[in-house]
Amino acid sequence: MLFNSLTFLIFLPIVFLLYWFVFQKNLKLQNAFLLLSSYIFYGWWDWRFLGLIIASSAVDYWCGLKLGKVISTNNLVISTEGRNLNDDSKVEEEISLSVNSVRNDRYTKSPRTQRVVSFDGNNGSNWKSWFKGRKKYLTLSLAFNLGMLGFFKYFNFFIDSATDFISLLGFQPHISTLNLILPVGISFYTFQTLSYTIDVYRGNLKPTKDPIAFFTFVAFFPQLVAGPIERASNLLPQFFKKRKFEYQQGSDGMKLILWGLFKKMVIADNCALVVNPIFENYQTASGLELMMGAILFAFQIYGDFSGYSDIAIGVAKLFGFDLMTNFRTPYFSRDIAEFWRRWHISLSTWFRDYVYIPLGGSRVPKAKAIRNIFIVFLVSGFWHGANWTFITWGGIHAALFIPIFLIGKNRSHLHESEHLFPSFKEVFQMISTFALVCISWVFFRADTVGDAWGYLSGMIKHPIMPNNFAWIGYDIRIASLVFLVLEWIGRYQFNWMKKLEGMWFRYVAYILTAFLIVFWGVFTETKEFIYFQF
Amino acid sequence: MKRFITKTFLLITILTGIVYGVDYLIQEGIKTSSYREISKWNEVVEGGIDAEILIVGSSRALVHFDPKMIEESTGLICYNLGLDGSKYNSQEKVLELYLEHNKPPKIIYWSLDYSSFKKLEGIYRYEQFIPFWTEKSIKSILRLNKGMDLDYLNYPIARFSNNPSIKYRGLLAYTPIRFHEPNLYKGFRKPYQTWDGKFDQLIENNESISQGIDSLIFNDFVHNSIKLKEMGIEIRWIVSPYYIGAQKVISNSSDIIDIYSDTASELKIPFIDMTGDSISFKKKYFYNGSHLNADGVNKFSKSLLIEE
Repeated sequence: MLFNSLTFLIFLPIVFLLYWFVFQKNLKLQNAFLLLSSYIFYGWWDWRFLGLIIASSAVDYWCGLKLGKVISTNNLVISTEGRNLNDDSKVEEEISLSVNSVRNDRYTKSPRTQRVVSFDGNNGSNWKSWFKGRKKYLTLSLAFNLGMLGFFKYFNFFIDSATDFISLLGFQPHISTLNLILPVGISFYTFQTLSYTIDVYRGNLKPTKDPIAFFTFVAFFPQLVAGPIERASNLLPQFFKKRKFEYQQGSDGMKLILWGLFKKMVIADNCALVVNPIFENYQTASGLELMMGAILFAFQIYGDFSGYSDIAIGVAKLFGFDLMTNFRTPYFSRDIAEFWRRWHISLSTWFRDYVYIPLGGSRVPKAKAIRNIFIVFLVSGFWHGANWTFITWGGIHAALFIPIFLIGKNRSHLHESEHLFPSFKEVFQMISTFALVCISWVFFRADTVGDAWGYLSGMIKHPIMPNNFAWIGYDIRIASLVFLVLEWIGRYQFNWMKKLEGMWFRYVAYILTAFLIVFWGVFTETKEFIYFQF
Repeated sequence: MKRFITKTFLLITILTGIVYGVDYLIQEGIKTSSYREISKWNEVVEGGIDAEILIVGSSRALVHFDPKMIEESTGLICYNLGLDGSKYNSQEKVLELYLEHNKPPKIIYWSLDYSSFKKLEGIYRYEQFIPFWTEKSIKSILRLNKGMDLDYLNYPIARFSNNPSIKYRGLLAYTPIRFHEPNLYKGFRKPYQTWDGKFDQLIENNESISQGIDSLIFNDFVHNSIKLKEMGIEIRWIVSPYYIGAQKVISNSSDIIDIYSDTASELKIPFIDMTGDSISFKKKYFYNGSHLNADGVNKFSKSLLIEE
C-alpha cells in the first residue's frame, strides 16, 4: 500500500478511528490491532512476503529472549540460563540505565564508548563458553537476517559478478541466476530487527517478553517499508506505554503528512517526469540538459525519500508514536560531513553505531580510521542495491569525506546557519557541496557505472547550448522555488508549518498546501517511492 | 480528540469544496478554449450538429476537408470529425460519440491513410477528451491508451495532471488572457503552415517505411462500413493526396491502395484515390509529406467535388 494512494487514504482513517475509539482501553489489544493493520498494509503489496517479516520477527524475538538469559560482567560471559532476568534487580538497573543513556545521548559520545566496550567484551573467552553464551544467538540473528537479505537482494548480483569475473579469466561459465522478487522494505526491517538483537546482546536494551509488542515494533506500518530505521531502544518502549491522544502530536503529524505529500507528489514526481527521459537518452542530450537532469534528480530523490519519511513520522504521531528524524535539510549542508549528518540519518547512524564504531571508529590510527570510513561508505552504498553504481556512489562519498576528516574539519558544521540569509561564504559552501552531491547522484541514478561516466562526460563533451527550457514545466519551476524557500525557513523545526502563527494564517497555509498537491501533483500513474526498491 | 477530528473534518470539507469548485471552473473553461480539437468534442457532446455530410479520419481528414467549401458546393450541412494522430480504432469511437448525440448523417467521407489500420499504442493528446470523460465513448477512447489507469479520472483537478497547461488554459478562459490558437470551423483546422523541411531530411537519409495493415482492425472497419450502409448512410472511402516523395518513402503504398480499392469494390463502396492526382506531385501544396497546406486544401476540395 502506498502512502500516496486512494487505498491508503481509506485505510488510514479506518485504522485511526478503530485504534483510538475501539481498542484504546486495552494496550495489548491496541498493539495487536496495530500489528494486524501493519500486516494488512504490507500484505496489500504481496501477502506471500509477510512470511519473511514474521520469520525475521520470530527469530529475533527468540534470540532476544535467549540473550536475556545470558549476562555479561566485564570481560567474562556468564550464562544465566533458566534465571529470570526481571528478578535480578542489579541487572534491571544496569539495563534501564543503558537504555536511558542511549535514549538521551543518541548523538553524543556516551553510547559510543559503551558499545565499543560491549563489543570487545568477549575477547578473553574461550570458543566453547563463547559459543554457549551470547554470541551464539547474535550469530543466529545475524545469519538469518543477513542471509535472507543476501539471498533476496544480492544473490543474482554475486552470481553475475562471479560470472563476469570468470569470463574475464577466459572461461565460459554457465551459472544461472534466479528470478527473484525483492520483497519491499526488506533492507529496512531487517536492519531494524537487527538493531534490537545487537542492543540486547550489548546489554543496552532489556529484551521484551511481549511477542505482540515486538512483532509490532518490527512491522509498524508507518515506517515498515522505507524507514526511518528505528532503534529498538527508541521505538520498542513506546509499545509498552499507555498511549493517550494528544492534540499537539496529532496536529504535528498532520502537518508532516501534508508536507511529505507535497514533497513526494509535487516535487519528486514532477522532477521524475523531466529526469527520466534525460537519463534514458543521455547520449543525445545537451550538456545543459544533463546538468539540469542531475540537479532535478537531486530534488527528486530528496523529495521522494524525505517526503516518505515525513509521512511516516506524521502517521506514527497520529497513533501516539515518535519516530526519529530522518532528514534535516541536507542540501543546505556546507560540507559532505555535514551532509551525512543530515541525509538519511537513521541509516547513517545505524552504520555508525553498528559498523563504524565496532570497527574502531576514528579512535584508531589514521590508516585504520580511513579504512573504517571506506568500509562504512561502501557498505552503505551496497545496502542501497546490488549494483556497482551504488558501490561507486558510496566510494565517491568516502573519497569526499576523507580529506575533511584528515584535516579535522568533519565536525565543524554541527548546527544550521543561524542567519535568515546565509553569508556569501556559506552560499559558496552550500552550492559546492550540492554540486558534488549531484555528481554522486548520477552514479546512484544511472543503470551502470559506464552510463554514469557517459552522462558526466556528456556534460563536458556536449556543447552547453542555450536551451529552451520549455520542456521543464512552469509547475516544477515554481514549485521547486517555493519548496527551497520553505525548506530554508523551516530548517530549524524540520517543518516550516510549525513556524506559522495566527490561526487563520495557518489554516490558509494548510489548505493552500493541500490544494497545491492536488493542483500540481502527478496522478496519471501511481508513482512508487524510490526507496521501496532498496 | 474531538477538537482534532472537528478541525480535520472542517479543513477537509473546505478543501474538498475548493477543489471541486476549481475542477468545475477548469472543466467548463477548457471546453470553450481552442486547445487541440476540444471545442469539437464539446460541440459533438452538446449535440444538434446534425450534419448531412460527415468527415471521419485522422489529422489528414482534420486539415484536408473544408466543410465550408463542401457546403457551398453541395448545399448540404457538413462537419469534420477528424482527430489528429488517430488511427481507425479511435476514429470509430469518435463516430460512435457523434452518433450518440447527433442525427446520423446522409453521407460519411472516411478519410483513409496508409497507416489507418495499424495497431494503436496510445491516443495522441488524449487530455483533450478528459473534460468529457463521463461519456461512454470517450472512456472507450481513453481505454485505448496502453496502460492508462482510468481511476485517476475520478479525482477532481488531478484528472488534468498529465498536461498541466490544460489547467491554466481552463482557468484563463474566464480572463482576457486567452491562448490564441487557430479556431476550428465546423471541426476543420485550416493548415496555415508552410513546408517544414522535416520530410527532406527523411529523403536525404534514404529512409523507407513499410506500413502494415492489421487484419483484425481492417475487418472491423469493413463490418462497421457495412453496418453504416445498413443504417442508410452512404459511405465513401477517400485517400486524399500524399506528396509523391512520401508515397515513395512508403515501400508498400501501392499495395495498401490496392487492398482499399479491392475491398471497396467488393462492398460496392465508392473509393476515391487522390494519391495520383496532380496535386500530389507539387511540393508547393504541402506543408509536409502527408499534409496539404491551405492552397493544397483549396485545390483538393475543388478536385474532390468535381470527382463527386
